[in-house]
Amino acid sequence: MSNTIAQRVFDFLKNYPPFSLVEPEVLKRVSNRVIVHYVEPKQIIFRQGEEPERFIYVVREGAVQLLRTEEEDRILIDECDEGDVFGIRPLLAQQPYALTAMAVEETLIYAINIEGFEEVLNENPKVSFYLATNFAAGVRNQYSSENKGRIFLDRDMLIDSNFKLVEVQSMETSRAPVTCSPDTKVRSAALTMTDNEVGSIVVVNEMDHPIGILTDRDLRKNIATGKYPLDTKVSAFMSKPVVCISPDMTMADVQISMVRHRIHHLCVTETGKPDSPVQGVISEHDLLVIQGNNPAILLKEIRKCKRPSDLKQIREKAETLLRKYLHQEVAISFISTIMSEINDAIIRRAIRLSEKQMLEEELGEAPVKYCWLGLGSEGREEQLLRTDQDNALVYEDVAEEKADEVKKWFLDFSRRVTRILNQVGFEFCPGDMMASNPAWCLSISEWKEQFSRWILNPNQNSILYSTIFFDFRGIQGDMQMTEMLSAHILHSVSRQTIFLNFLAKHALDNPPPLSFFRNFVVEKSGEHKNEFDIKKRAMMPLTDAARVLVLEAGVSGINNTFKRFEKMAELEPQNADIYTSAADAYEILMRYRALQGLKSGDSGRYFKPGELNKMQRLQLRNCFQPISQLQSLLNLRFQLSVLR
Amino acid sequence: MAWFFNRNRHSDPLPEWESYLQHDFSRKRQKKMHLEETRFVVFDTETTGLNHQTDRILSFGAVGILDGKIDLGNVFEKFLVQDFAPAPESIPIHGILPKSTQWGVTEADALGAFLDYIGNAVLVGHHVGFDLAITNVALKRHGCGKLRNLHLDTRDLALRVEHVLRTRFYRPEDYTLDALCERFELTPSDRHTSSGDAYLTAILLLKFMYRLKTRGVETLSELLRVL
Repeated sequence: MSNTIAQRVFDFLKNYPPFSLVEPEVLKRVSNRVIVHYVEPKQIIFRQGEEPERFIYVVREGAVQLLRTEEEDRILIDECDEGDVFGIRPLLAQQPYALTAMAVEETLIYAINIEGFEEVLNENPKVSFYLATNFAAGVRNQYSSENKGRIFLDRDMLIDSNFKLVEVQSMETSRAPVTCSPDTKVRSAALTMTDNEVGSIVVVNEMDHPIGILTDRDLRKNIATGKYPLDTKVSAFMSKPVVCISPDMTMADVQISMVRHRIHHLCVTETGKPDSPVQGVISEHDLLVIQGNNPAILLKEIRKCKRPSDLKQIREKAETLLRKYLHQEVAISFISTIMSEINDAIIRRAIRLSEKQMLEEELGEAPVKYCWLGLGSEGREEQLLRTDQDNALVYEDVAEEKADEVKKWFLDFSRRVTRILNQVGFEFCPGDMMASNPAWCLSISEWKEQFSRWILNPNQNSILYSTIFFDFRGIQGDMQMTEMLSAHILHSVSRQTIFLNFLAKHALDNPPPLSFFRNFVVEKSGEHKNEFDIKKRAMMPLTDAARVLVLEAGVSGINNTFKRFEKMAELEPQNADIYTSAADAYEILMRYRALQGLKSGDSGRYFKPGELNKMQRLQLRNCFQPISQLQSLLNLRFQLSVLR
Repeated sequence: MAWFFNRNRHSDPLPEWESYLQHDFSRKRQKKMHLEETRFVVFDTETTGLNHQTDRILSFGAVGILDGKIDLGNVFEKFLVQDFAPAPESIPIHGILPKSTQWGVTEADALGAFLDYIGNAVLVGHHVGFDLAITNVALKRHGCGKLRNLHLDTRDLALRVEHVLRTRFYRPEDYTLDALCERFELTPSDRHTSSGDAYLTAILLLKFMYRLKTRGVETLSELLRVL
């Protein structure tokens, strides 16, 4: 062995086929001539159509995409990571490259000169068998174009069965469409509409093709105003042409079409064009009824709820909405805003119901102003699923002699609210971080004192509490109190900066979730042994980092983790890359966890890495990159090696 | 044996020195070069101690980089025979035992081969100042002048990449080769052999150059620019 570096290359190659099947002596000779190639993100290693050079490639670190260019489109065929071999088949078959190889991230590849190695590859029966089974044309096409960009394998299936108009129609509008001819008099058309209890009538020609539509609105505008007499033919003022859609359009298509044409009715025809027979009409109202889980409607319903069980039902409808948004890949920032609105409305309703109960039991109104605080993920507006509840309560200062009485009222009240929330499906917090706990139901002065204590004497507990309580958000009551508390925290932190170092150190407690060999770090023991804890390993490090960064920057009022990163990117343009990718990663992780939770009917926190397919694994891994970058940034900024 | 090692002392320069001087060392021409066309030689030495005047080189390790590629068929690795045993305290670090120096080459041969290997490449190292200084002292011992190559310290590049000079956060221990390897996710498998260190430093150099390139650094002069 002529040099130590080649020895390391040999040690690496011998673990991966086809090299693992080759005699060590031959492999050593080959290792000595390897070219280590550092490839930048997006750099091309070889192009489709080029003649192969004398090299086969192995990914040492990083990831390489194999793409096929068809006309304008680049189709992802495969993604290679550590130990994967590529560029071997064209070389052996002596054909031009059928694919383009491009690095996804910073990548180290070993380019292996096959001079004198070719024969070995071809003649060694084990090797040729391996090559035949793994690199024959077509075999590696597991990720064909229809899977492109698809992260979750069940996605298309779900959209197919749940969201196509076909299903919707069979359920709601299976009646034959109400139609009339263009010569029909308005009066008789209106009678037909009334008889059939519909708000519109389709005007069709003799072949049943739609040529216009007459709606309640047209009648109001043209007849009720006296503009036309009652015996006018409908063709005189029907709306035309009719906007048509085909039955296999999705709900989203329908909505978009209505918005784009500023109309409220669409005609469903066989082909989606006006020159085919009409099958039905879909109105905006139908859409709302069909969906039943339009957020605006859900919010309205929440405000009318009288019983916790009704609230629970609505929250379950909201979950259907969540599922739909996730599968349609709606931006997670939008999803989390909607879900937080719904959660907040439920909490407000629970508060309202509890207040009423107490009045009915003659326990009186709230003795002083208060504010109900959402903590943790609810505080950060990131609670997509019904995980456990974290909340607290702050009320105005009262005279000492009344303190006990006031606290007693609020504790009673909080117990009622948390019980209702529990009935809705928000589990009680196992750590008892709830407003019903006397420690977390305090007057504003007591809260300030408590926060000061945590900041001035940082220890394990106070840091842990800070990570939950400092993400508070006022949900119901006097919002001024939350502003006062935020100001107090920022002020105290600026006078006691060592606190931030402790908080930053806590953010590093969970190292990046990839092991040395780019495997997922799984739990070593306990109920979830050998499962990956996405919350603890991937999401918390990001949440914790975001929190300490905004606190140091003196930013208040932004609780959401990805919004915090966006803010940091604005404040520190030199680190904008890291922050933006952290924000992106967090969104992907939230989406992933929510989908996982809906699938397994739990919080989505744990899963087995083995159950992921390669694309999912790669996508998650890419999310972990920013974690280590952020952690080294924190390490430097807060000089944490000193504290450790 | 002494006559053997003293053969070049205060006498004629190494034969390789002449051909080394034939290279184009014009600062002006070199600095205009684009990074992809520039050859870098990343090197490291293991020595008997930290005094560049009195200590001796025990091994050279060097790898050449051209356009992001390191050809392992052409790396430089020499173990030297020195006419005195290394200081005992340096043995546990680099693992070169006095005995192993017996199968090495003479200092003159190693230096000559090194001159041939580097040519007019840009010399790179982690804390490269020390390696340059001890090599220059050795060259002087053999009647040669100082190295003419442009040079670059990966520690300085690291500071630039992480914008550290402009902040209050600089601490030397964050910029050791070990610390940088950890931060930039390199596997330090061959630490403390000179070629292993040179290889790791080379990968760091490539990573740093990529990061600086995204900030618009394209030519050698931009890369060498002092902060």
